[in-house]
Amino acid sequence: MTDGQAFVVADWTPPSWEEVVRDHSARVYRLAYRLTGNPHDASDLTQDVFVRVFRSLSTYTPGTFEGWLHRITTNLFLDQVRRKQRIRFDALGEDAGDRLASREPGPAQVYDDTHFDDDVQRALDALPPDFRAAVVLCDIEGLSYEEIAATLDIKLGTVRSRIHRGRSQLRDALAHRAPRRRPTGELHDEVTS
Amino acid sequence: MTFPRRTHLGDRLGALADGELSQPARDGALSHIAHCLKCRAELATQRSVKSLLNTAPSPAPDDRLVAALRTLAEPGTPLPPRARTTPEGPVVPDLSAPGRGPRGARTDSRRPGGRRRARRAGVLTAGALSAAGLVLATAFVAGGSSAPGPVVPPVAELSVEHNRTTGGVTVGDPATGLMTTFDNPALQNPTTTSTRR
Repeated sequence: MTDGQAFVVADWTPPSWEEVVRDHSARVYRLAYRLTGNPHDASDLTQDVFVRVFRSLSTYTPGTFEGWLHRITTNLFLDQVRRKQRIRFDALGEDAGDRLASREPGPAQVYDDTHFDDDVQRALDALPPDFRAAVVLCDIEGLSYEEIAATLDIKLGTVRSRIHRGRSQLRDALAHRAPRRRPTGELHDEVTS
Repeated sequence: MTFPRRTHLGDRLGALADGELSQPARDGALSHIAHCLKCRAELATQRSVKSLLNTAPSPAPDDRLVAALRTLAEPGTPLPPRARTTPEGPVVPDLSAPGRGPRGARTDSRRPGGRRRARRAGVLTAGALSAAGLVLATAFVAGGSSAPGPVVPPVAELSVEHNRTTGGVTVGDPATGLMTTFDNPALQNPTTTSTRR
């Protein structure tokens, strides 16, 4: 990618919007889905991302389109999560903590169950959003630690820690729901610290 | 356990599973793992979760969403006129007003002109419709993504608002229209602009 950079920049023509949508909507939606955990929020987030892309296309510099999309998607997602958390706590008052703690399946999750590997998605949903973003970018999108650090604007050490701890929590969530998925048999209990 | 806790690999195991350790660090980690059941088990966990996520099915956007994304670049595409409640009462934007040529009238209607128009529309709308804008923004924040309903591309919506704001006086691209106003001495007293402030 870097060796052909100069050539690419000199030769680059902006893609048509049709091409942008055709080439990138599936990737953005997949990331949005894994981050938000349901098709409805994933659609909303995907649209927000493309509105942002559309407005900023003129200032886009070639060579980092995928990285740019990853960055916009995860940042919008994390912003929305933080905003919603604020609103929820404001609106629910004192018992907010209790209500948030209960994980009754909502309509979105019921819909989800019929369409996807819900064990995996629900385990992802249970992760803190910052951890979820790091794990999804690494294991589903295939980004390197360095790319993840740039995408989330965090240090490499933080990336490493979030991915490791995120996977450990996923293992716990999945072991609870599907014991046969335990990867290490009798060693499992020893691992938990 | 025969190994003290401090020698365990901790979050380096995730990096080891990802091939993100340097060669010396990797060698050290592997020699530790050769003797440490706990770290070996945790490495297996990291690898199995990674492969589980890696092989999870890829959810795909439905056609409606993709179609909605395409329309973002088409500010001239008619949206169904929606009655909006403003301080002056409900308003239905007039899509047949001047400045909104038929789709395809511009040879390259897609990007540069559309973008400029959308951005200009945003500026004008922000100044003239701050009250309505505040209501809309609040509704967006409060409603969030939980509100069901048809997909409405905001860019196109801004164009509709712009059209309503200017009352249809603008002809052609609003950006070039304003530039002409500034350049032409005969139009140094642009009443339409001043009343809007």
